[in-house]
Amino acid sequence: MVDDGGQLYTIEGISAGILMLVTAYLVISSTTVLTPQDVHITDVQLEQLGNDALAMLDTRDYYDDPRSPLQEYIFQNDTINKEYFAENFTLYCNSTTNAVKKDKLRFNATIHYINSMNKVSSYVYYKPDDYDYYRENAVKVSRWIYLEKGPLNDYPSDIRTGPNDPKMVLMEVLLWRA
Amino acid sequence: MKGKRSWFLNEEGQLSIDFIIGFTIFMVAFIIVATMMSGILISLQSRTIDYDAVAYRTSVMLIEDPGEPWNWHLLNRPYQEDRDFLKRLGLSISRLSPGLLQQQKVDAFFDNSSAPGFSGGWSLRYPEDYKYRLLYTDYPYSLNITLRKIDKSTQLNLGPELPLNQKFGYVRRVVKIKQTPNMTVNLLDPSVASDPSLMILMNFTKLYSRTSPLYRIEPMNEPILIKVQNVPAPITIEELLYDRIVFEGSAYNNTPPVSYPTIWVSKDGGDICTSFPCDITSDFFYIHIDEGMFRPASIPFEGRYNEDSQVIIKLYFNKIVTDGSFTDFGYTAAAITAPEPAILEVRVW
Repeated sequence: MVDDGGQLYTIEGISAGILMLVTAYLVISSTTVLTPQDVHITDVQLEQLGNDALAMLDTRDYYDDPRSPLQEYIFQNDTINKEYFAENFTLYCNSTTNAVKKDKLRFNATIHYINSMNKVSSYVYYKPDDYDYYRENAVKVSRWIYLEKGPLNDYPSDIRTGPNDPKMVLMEVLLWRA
Repeated sequence: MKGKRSWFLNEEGQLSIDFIIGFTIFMVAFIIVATMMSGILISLQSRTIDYDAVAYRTSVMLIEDPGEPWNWHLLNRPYQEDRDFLKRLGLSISRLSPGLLQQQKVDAFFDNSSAPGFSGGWSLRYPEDYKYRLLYTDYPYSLNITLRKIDKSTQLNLGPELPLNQKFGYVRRVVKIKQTPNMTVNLLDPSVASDPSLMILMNFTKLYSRTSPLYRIEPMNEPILIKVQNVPAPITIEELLYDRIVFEGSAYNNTPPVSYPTIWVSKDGGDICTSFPCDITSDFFYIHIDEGMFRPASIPFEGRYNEDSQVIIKLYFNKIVTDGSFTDFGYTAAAITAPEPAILEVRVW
């Protein structure tokens, strides 16, 4: 039986439907300005500073210098050179133009390399004794370092395929504010 | 028949005038709200984020770009004609050496001492020049840029102090500043010397053969300091001349200009030889060659030198001090001191 049930009687129904569609369309297509969170900006500042510090450490002082300071620290890999690295990296990162105020950045450094089995290995290059990383908001900065041939002291033995191969390693510094 | 009745017009389901009015009011209100929406959200945006972006951009332009022209520090900035050539401020030595700054650009950048008119001093004007050649904006930002050498020997400052409790954009960069090339010349003992003139040869072709600008001596771009020691004092410098060798065998005897940029002599204690003859009473003195003395041809106004020029600097004494041969100003004798690390901070509000 055909009857009146289920029919669309009123034009209000149609207009309400169109109204909802138009509303939805306007809301979706309207420009939304998203406010980025402040923390990202701080990250950029920290990352830039870390990259600057690594770049400056990796700049030779004189034309005849065989290695940049950073290459020297990584190549020698002994206590005294690790101390130089920590000292200079701290100096570059924590110095400000204020006479008394210093920044409080902390860091540790890891070296990544392709080992003799063609897998990526890591070696903790520098880890401070007096503090550790406890999931603070941190950034990672890295720099490729070329090491010419010669013995690489105190590194894991799989760092080289042959005893006198030059090696490219990636130094990664984790940087955070205390 | 009841089923067919629904096909005829009747009064049910018609659009009432109330509805039209209500709908119109709603739509107008809705459109107004929708167009205002983005404006409402903008005020929610944190101002410091914008400031941070400007501070970052400014630092990038300053330390990763040499400016336009790339040797703008040689321009005679107090003169409008020269100033018009300066399009962009940047401090790095070259485009290929980000973070490595030229000392002369640093000095020029931070020197905004006010000079009456456009001819009194060597300066940029704050804030106009920094606004239109660095910030590129009409928005009234305030700017404070500080540079401090890591050994704390120098601190340079530009712009007003940051007001208390002011929100500001900030960025800190680590840089290295290239130092002045220098050389030491030893004069001969009168018992073995045969000639009263000291001739220093600068072969630009050899000097410019190094590719990295950080380790390259650039006589057309930076000052040069020559220390002359083992001087048999008292002695008199009769004359100071310089030559540009244009072709084999040709030479001009030129007196250096009286004012900057020029070649000049300073004595023990900092006294300057203002004219020649000039008496030297200690066993050393310095020859200074100002940056811009050998202006490259790419810089307008009197630029005559290029990377293949050869220059001779001659000093005539009243005693015999050399064997008459050229003293070569080259990489075996001359050196550039290690670049000095420094911290650069930019604050924008």
